Amino acid sequence: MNCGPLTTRPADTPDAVLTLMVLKGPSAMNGETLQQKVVITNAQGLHMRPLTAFAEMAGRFQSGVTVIKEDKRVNGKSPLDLMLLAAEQGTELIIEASGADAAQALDALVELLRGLANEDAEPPLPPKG
Amino acid sequence: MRMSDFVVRDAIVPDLTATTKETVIKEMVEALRTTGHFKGGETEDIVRAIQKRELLGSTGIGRGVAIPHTKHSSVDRLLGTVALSKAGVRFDSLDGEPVHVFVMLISPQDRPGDHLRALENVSRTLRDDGFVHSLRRATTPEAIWGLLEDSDHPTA
Repeated sequence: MNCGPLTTRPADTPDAVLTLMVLKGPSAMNGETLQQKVVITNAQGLHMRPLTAFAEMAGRFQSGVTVIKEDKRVNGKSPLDLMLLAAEQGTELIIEASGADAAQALDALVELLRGLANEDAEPPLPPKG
Repeated sequence: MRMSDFVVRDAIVPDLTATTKETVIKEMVEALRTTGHFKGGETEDIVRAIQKRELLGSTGIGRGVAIPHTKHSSVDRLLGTVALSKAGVRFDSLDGEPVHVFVMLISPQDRPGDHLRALENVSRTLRDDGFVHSLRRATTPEAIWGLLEDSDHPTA
């Protein structure tokens, strides 16, 4: 395991500005659990490309990442798990990160989902001929 | 939605001859074309759309599974097929492993919900290691169809 420097920070630091709603505070010095609620806004929903990007991004962090939709809890580092959510436009998800870099993970993942709202969902069809 | 709702039985390919990403996509689209769900003239366009989608990021999601897909105006309902490669195909998968199980999806332009529910269904089915093991040992379209039907549990 690549540990790197342990960088914990309290949930109320100014960089938590991306966090719309912190539902749980730090539970331990090196293992905080943070949650943030997000709404999927793009018309195509959380389809395969963004969910794959999400899993890849989540995998870069040491913290565990869970995505919650109503009573479903799935591993945010697994594309196959994220596909189970079938998160359409308007779906409310809770992203939960748990571990030493939970705040950074949450920031990065929420930012990624925000980017999704601004991008075209699918590439245009190639021109004929 | 169940996997047998969108997989076209007669388009199942139990033993792909293709050995590259590009040719697997062609072989699967061609298998779907022969079932008459879209016009022959649209085949090339669909192949290109799926290949273009792969350039944005592989749909090889690991565990030997890939889900190449696109939206296309030539279909009026969600179409899918399943193909197997005994040898495995390099697909730039997330885990770097070759792909043995392919599920292709071609969706109408305007029904993102159906596409997401198909992905959910494919995921629910392929997360079962026992199912994937049996699937990879299947050698005929009938055997594969039988496995898909047996695995289909309607969404509660």
